[in-house]
Amino acid sequence: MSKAYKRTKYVKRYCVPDQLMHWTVALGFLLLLITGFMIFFKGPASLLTTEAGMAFRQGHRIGAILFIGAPLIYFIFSSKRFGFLVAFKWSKYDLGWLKAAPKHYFVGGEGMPPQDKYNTGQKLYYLVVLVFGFLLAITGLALWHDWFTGPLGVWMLVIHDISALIITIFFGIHLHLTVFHARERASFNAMTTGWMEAEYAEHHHKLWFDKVKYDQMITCGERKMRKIRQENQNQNNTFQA
Amino acid sequence: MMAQKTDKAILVDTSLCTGCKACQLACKEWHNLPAMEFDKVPGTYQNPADRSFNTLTLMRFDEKYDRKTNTFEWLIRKDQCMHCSDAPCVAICSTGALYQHKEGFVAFDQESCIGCGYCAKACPFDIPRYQYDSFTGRDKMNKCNFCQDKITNGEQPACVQTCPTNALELMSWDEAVKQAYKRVEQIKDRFPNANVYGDKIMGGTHYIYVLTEKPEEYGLPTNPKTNELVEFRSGVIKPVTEVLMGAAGIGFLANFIVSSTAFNFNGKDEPEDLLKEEKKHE
Ligand code: SF4
Ligand code: SF4
Ligand code: SF4
Repeated sequence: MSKAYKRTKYVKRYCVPDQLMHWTVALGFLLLLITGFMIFFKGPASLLTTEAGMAFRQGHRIGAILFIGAPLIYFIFSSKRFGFLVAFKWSKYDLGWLKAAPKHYFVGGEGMPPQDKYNTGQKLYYLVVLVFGFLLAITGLALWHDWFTGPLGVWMLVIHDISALIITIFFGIHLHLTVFHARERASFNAMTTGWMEAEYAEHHHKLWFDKVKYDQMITCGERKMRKIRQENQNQNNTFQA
Repeated sequence: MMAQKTDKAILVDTSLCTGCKACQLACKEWHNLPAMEFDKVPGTYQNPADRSFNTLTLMRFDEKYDRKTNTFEWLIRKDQCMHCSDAPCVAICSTGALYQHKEGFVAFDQESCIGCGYCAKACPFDIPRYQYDSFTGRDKMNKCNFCQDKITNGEQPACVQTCPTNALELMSWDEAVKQAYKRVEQIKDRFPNANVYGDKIMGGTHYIYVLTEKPEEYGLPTNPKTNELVEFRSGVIKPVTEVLMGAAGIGFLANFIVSSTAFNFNGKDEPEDLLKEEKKHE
């Protein structure tokens, strides 16, 4: 039995397109974050007047293309295009999670309600990214292409600033928890490798883990799913024979 | 901010202007700006159609034809930055490229401009114009800078210097306003709608106009205002961002320290669960 447990030490969590999209958006966002705040604050902004500074301004556009393009392409081509809707599904567990979270993330301790594939915090972050990312994209394009002059133009700027601030704070939390927090590394590894440690998954995403632990039925694309079904079928056949 | 009496101002008397465009050319000449736009403007003497990166000041020609009295009037106005005292473009400028000169007008250091385009959004007169770049959209901004280099050297702006009819004159702000009201009185018989434009808007502009018709006839805003959002941005959004980002940074650091000691995670906590788990499976 020990062996069987070892074999399920990891569970498939993300497929290659998911990872590609996540990291492209991440790269785009990082570019936008750095170049954006350089323009936002007067000090660094006045350093942007050289050739290198102009490259920074172009960096903001390249970041924008990645940040907007990746989710768009994902939405058009991925069969999981409506996956983002999970960010809008909230239940009573989420309230419990929010209450228990601060203590949990500082000193550990239990009492976190069981979570699905995405815990409340992740859903909240996802929601923030969706809403304010959308606002950032729209207002950003308006600023880039001068869609509005006068007061409407200033509105675009102000919405752009506020959305950027909100997303930056949440991004800080996200980055901190996944990269620097002592216990949540597993989550980071899942996004880089596609696989999540089973113990961690069971601990942090019980509802999801219970669904996927036996059959590894996380599927990456229709072809793979058919293959897995086929394999299961074959196994059953040999077993019966 | 309000205009100071000793500020420098340019008085534009439209009743003296013949529309010769000498100022438009002198401005180009002094600032080394090429003539690039050869678009004809049908039916008027105005050319080019609008101010641009290369045309900082433009003579606008508006023809007013009154069918009732069968009279024709030509409204000619020199159009350039108004040099507001309460200048939203200065407040919103990302880099400080736009700034209030000690003589009151709004100076511009093009070297420091990064072409963010915010100034055009904030300006109630739609003054700033840009050079365009295929990828970033806007590049550098340009507008009338009151010939700040000439002013600093005790000279008159190029447009004022060249004006043959004295429709343009450089004087102190206080003097310009007084003169303007005096002239309006003098021309009241010929132009019953004559008025002074500039002294009461945007904290007092540093171009003061004697207009022969109401401002709206010239396409000028009657009551231009600084957009409140501009103030909100520099007074609230920027400081709040600084505080929140600082607070978040401190929060993460505190969490990092507390959580890494509390978990001491090479030792117990999770691995213990893991062992239990391992046992269950055996
Ligand atoms: S007219 Fe426009 S550009 Fe000129 S000082 Fe006023 S706000 Fe600034
Ligand atoms: S375009 Fe240039 S002058 Fe205008 S706000 Fe931006 S940096 Fe300032
Ligand atoms: S003051 Fe100088 S920059 Fe402004 S319109 Fe006259 S010549 Fe041009």
